Amino acid sequence: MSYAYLFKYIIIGDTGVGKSCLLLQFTDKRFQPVHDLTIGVEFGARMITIDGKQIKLQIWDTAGQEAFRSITRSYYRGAAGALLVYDITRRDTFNHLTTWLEDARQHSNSNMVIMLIGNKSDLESRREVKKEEGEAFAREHGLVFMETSAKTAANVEEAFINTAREIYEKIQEGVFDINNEANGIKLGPQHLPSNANTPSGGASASQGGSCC
Amino acid sequence: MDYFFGFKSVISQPDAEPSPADTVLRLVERVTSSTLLEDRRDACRAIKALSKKYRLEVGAHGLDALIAVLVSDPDLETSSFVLETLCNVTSSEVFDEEGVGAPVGEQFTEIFLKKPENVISVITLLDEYDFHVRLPAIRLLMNLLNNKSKEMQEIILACPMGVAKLIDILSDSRDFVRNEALLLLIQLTKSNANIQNIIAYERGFDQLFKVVASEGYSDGGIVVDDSLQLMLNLLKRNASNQTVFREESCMKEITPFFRSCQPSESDPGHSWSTQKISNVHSMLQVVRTLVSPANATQVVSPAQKNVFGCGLLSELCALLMSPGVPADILSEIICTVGESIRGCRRNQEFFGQVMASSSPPRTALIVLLMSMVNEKQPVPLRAAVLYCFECFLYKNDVSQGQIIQALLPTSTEAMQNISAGQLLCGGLFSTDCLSHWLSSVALSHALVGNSNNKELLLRVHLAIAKDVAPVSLLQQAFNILQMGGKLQTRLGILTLLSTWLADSSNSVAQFLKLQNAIAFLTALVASNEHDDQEVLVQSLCAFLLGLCVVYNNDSNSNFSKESLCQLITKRIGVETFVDKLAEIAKHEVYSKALKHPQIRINTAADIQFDHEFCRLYKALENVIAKAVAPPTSPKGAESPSESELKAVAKYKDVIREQDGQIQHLRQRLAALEGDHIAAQSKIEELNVNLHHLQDQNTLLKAQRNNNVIIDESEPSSQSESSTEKLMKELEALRLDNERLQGQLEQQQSAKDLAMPVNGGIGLAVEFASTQSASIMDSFTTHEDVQVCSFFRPESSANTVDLELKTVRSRLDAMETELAETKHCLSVSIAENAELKEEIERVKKDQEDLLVLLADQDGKVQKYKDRLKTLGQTVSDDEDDELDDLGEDDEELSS
Ligand SMILES: Nc1nc2c(ncn2[C@@H]2O[C@H](COP(=O)(O)OP(=O)(O)OP(=O)(O)O)[C@@H](O)[C@H]2O)c(=O)[nH]1
Ligand SMILES: [Mg+2]
Repeated sequence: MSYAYLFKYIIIGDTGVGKSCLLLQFTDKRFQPVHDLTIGVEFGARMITIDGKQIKLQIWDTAGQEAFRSITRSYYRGAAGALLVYDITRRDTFNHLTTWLEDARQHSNSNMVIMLIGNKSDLESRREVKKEEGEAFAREHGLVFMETSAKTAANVEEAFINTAREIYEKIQEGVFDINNEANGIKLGPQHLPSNANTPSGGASASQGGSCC
Repeated sequence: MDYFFGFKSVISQPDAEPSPADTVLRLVERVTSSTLLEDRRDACRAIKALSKKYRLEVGAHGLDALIAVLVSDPDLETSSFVLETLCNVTSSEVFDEEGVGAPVGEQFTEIFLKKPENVISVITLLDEYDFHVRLPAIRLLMNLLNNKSKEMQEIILACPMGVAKLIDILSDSRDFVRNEALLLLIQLTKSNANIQNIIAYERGFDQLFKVVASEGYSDGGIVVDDSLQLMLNLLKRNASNQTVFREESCMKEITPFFRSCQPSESDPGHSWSTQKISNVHSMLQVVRTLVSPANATQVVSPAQKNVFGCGLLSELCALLMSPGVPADILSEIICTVGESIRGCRRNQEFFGQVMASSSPPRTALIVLLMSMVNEKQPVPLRAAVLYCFECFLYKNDVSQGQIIQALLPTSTEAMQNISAGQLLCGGLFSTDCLSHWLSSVALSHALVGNSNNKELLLRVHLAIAKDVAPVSLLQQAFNILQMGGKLQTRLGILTLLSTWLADSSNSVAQFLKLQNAIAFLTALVASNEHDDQEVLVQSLCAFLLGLCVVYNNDSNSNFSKESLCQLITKRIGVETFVDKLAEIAKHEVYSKALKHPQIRINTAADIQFDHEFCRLYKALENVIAKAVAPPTSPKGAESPSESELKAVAKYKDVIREQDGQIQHLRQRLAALEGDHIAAQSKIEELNVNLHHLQDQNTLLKAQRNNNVIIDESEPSSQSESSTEKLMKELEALRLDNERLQGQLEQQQSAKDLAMPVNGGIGLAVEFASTQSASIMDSFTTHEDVQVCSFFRPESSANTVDLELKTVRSRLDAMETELAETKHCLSVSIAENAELKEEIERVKKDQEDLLVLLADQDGKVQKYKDRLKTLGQTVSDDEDDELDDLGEDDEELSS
C-alpha cells in the first residue's frame, strides 16, 4: 500500500516495562502475558492516518536489558520518534529515565520526538509512580506524556498516533529535513519530488509543501 | 624453530649495517620522543617502508608506539602511514619480501584487539574523507575481522555508531572506496544477527539496490555480486530483516534486475558471461531466501504475494521461457518460480497460464514437463521441474483435479492438446528409469490430500499398444513393479501406489483385486536379501502392504484386515515386518527429504525420497505397526491409545535426539582430548626452546665474563660503563628466563588440573549413554507390554499411563544427566582455552627474550669492536661465537 510518509520509531526503556507488549498491542491488537525477553531488536509496522494522509510507521522494539545497551544505541540515529517507557508499578524503571534520556539525546537526531510512557496503568493497586510525577518529568524535559496499558490497550493507539502527529507537525513547520532519510522520515512513493525543494532549516518555505 | 633462524640471521648481520631490529627500534624511538611533527612523520613513513620485509620487528617493537600515534589524532599523512603499517603487520598473507616466516598477522591482531579503543580509533578515522586514510582504515578493519571475526564483531557492536559509520561509506561516491566497504560489511555480517539488523535499520537494502542499479543490474561486475552476497547475509535466517525487506518494498527493486537478463534486441544470441551467471544466481538466492518453504508461513505468504504484486513472478516466468539462459541458471529459476508459487493460489493460477512461445501453443508447464521426461536434459534441471510441479500442486486441489480430469475418457480436450497427465503417464512407460521415478512422484502429487482424485484415477485406463485392450492405470503400475527393473523405477511406483492407497479404502479394494498383488508384496517383504537397495524396496513394500491393512474396508473376503494380518504373521512374522518397515527411516536421504521439499539429485543414480511421501510415511509408520499386531478384537485394537502411541513415538524421538547429542558430545570430547595432547606437545616444544635459550644465555654469559677480564687488565671508563649496562641487561635476561620457567611450571600444573576433569567427562558421557540405552530398553519392553495389553483392553490404558510416567521421569533424569555432561564439557573447554592462552603468553615472552638476546649479541659485538679499537686483542677461543668477520678483524689488527 502506498503512503505519504514513513516514520521510523524506536521503543526504549528498562527490561520488563512492556515495550514488546505495546508494540504487539499496536500492530496485532493482542496481549502477551508472559515476558518474552527481547534479544537484540524486534520489528513491527503499521499504517495510520493523520490529516487524511496515510502514514506508515516502522517500529523497532529494542531490548531493555543492560547487556544489550550498546546495540540499542545503534538505533537512536535514524529514528524520527521514540517511545520512552517505564513501568508505573516499578519505581526503579522511573528512576532510570534520566539515563535513558541522556543516552537518547546524545546519540539521536536533535529533532527526534520523544514520548514518555508510563505503562501498566491497569495495575492501579500496585502503582508506585504517581501520574503527576510522570507529568512533571515530561514537562521538565520537554517530552509528551501518557499513561498506557498494553494489557487493556488503553491509550496505546494514542501513544503511537500522537507521536506521529507531533512528527508530522514538525515536518509542516519545516523543522525536519524530509529529504534526508537518515532522520527517520521517508517520503512515500505517491509523494513525487515536486516539493523536494526545502533544504533543512528552510522553515517558511516548506509550508504547504505537501500538496497531494 | 623459526625464531632461531631469525636469531642467527641477526647475528650474522655485517657490522657496518645495523640490524633491522636496531633500525626499527631507532625509528620507534623517534616516533615516540621526537618533538618535531615532521620528524615523527618521517619516522612513521620509514617504519611503513620496513613493515613488509621486517614485519616481525616492526610489530614487536613498534605496535604500541603506532597505536599511541593513532589515538593521538595525528595529521593526515601520518595517519595514512600508520594505518598502512598496521595493515601490513596484521595481514594474514605472507609477503614475498618476508621470505619464509610464520604467519604472525593473527598474533598482532590479538595484541591490537586487547584494547577495544584501538578499533574505535580506526573507526573514527573513517570520518576522514581523504582516501589515503579511509582506504587503509577499511583494510585494517578487514584484516582484523579476518583474523578475529567474533571479537571484532563484538567490539564494533559496542562502539557507538560503529556499524552506522561503516554503512555510510557505502554511499561514498568513489567506487573503489565503496567496494572495499562492501567487502568489509560482508565479513562483518556473517552470522551476527545484531549487526544484520542494524544494517537493515540503517536502510542497508536501499543502499545495496542503489549499487546494483548503478552498476547495471545483472550485467554489472563483481560489485553486483558482492552487494547481493551482503544482502543474502542480511536476510538468511533473519525473519525480522525479511519483514523489513518487505516493508520497505524492496521486492520491486528486484524486478528490473531480471528484466535486464532478457536477451537484448540487438544481440539476441549473446551468451552469458561468468560474472552475469553468478550475479543472477545470487539474486535468485535472494528471492528464494524470502519465499523458502523453510521459513515460517506468516513470512512466506506475504513475500509470495509481493513477488506477484511487483511483477517479479511474471518476469521470472518470461525468463524461464526465453532462449539462451544457461542450464544451471534455468534450474535455479525453475526452483525460484516453484517456491514463489508454492501453496499460494493466486500465484499458482498465474503460473498455470503462462504460455511458452512454441507452436503449437503450449503452456510453460507442459513445456517444462516435456523436459522433465526427456532423458537428454540435465538431471538437475529435470529434478527442478518436478519440484516446481509439486509446488504448483501444493494445496491446490483445483489444479490437482485438472491434471487427473484430463486423463479421463470423457475429456474431449485431452484429444486435442497433450495434457500434463498424459505426459506423466507417458513418462511411466518410457525406457528411462529416472523418468519413471519423476513421473510417478509427479503423479502422486496430484493425489496428495485429495481423496476424490484417488477415486478418479482408478477410472483411468491406458492403451499401451494398438491391438491390446486398455488396462487400468493401477494394473499397469503394478505390472511395472512386478517386472522388477531398476531401483528408481520401483521406488517411484511404490511412492505413487502408497500415496494412492493411503486414506482411500476404494483404492485399496481395487488394488487387492489385482492378481498376485498381495502375494507379490508378501514375498518381497519376506525375502531375505540384504542388498542395500533391495532392503529399501522391501521396506516400501511393507509400507504398501501395511496401508492395505489399515485402509481395508473388508469388502474383499480373501483379503480382509484380519486375514492380511494373519498372512503377515505367518508368512513374514510381525517382528520382521516391523523391522523392514522401519528401514526407510534409516536411510540417509530420508531425514533430508523430510526437512525440505526440494528434490536434490545430480545424477540419474542418486536416490531421493519425495518430501510428501516421507511425511506420509512418518504419519503412518506407527499406525501400521500397531495394526499388524497379532489379531485382537477389532474394537479393542482401536480404542486404547492412538494418542499414547503418538506420545511414545514422541519420546522415542526425544531419546533418539538425545542419543545424537551424546554422540556429538563424545566427539567434542575426543576433539578436546586431541587439543589437549597438542597443547602438551606444544609445551614440550617450548621447553626445548627454553633450554636452547638457556644454552645461548650461558654462552653469552661466558663471553661476557671473558670480556670483563679483559676490561680489568686495561680499564677504560667508556668500556666499563658499557660492561655494566651489559651486565644489567644480562641480569634482566636471567630474570625473564626465570619468569618464563615459572610460567611453564604454572602451565604444567594447570594442565595437570585439567586432566582429571577430562576423565570425569568421559565417565559422565559413559553414564549418560548407558542411561539412554536403558531407556531405549525400557521402550522395547514398553512396546511389548502394549502389544500384550491389546488382549486385555480394559486395563491397557492404565498400564500405558503408568509406563508413560516412568518413561517421562527417566527422560527427565536423562536430561539432567545431559546437562551435567554439557557442563563438564564446557568446564573442560574453558580449561583448554586457559591452557592455550598460557601457551600464547609463553610464546610472546619467548619472542621478547629472543629480541633481547639479539640486542644483546649486537651489543657484545659492538663492545668487542670497541675493545679492539682500544687496542685490545681478542683471541679466538675467547669468542668462538663470533663469526668470520671477527677473524677478519683480527687479521687486520695483527
Ligand atoms: N498488567 C500488565 N502487564 C503488562 C503490561 N505490559 C506488559 N506487561 C507484562 O510485563 C511483562 C514484560 O513485558 P514485555 O513487553 O515483554 O517487556 P519488555 O519491555 O519488552 O522487556 P525487554 O524485552 O526485556 O526489554 C510481561 O509479562 C507482560 O505481560 C500492561 O500494560 N499491563
Ligand atoms: Mg521486549
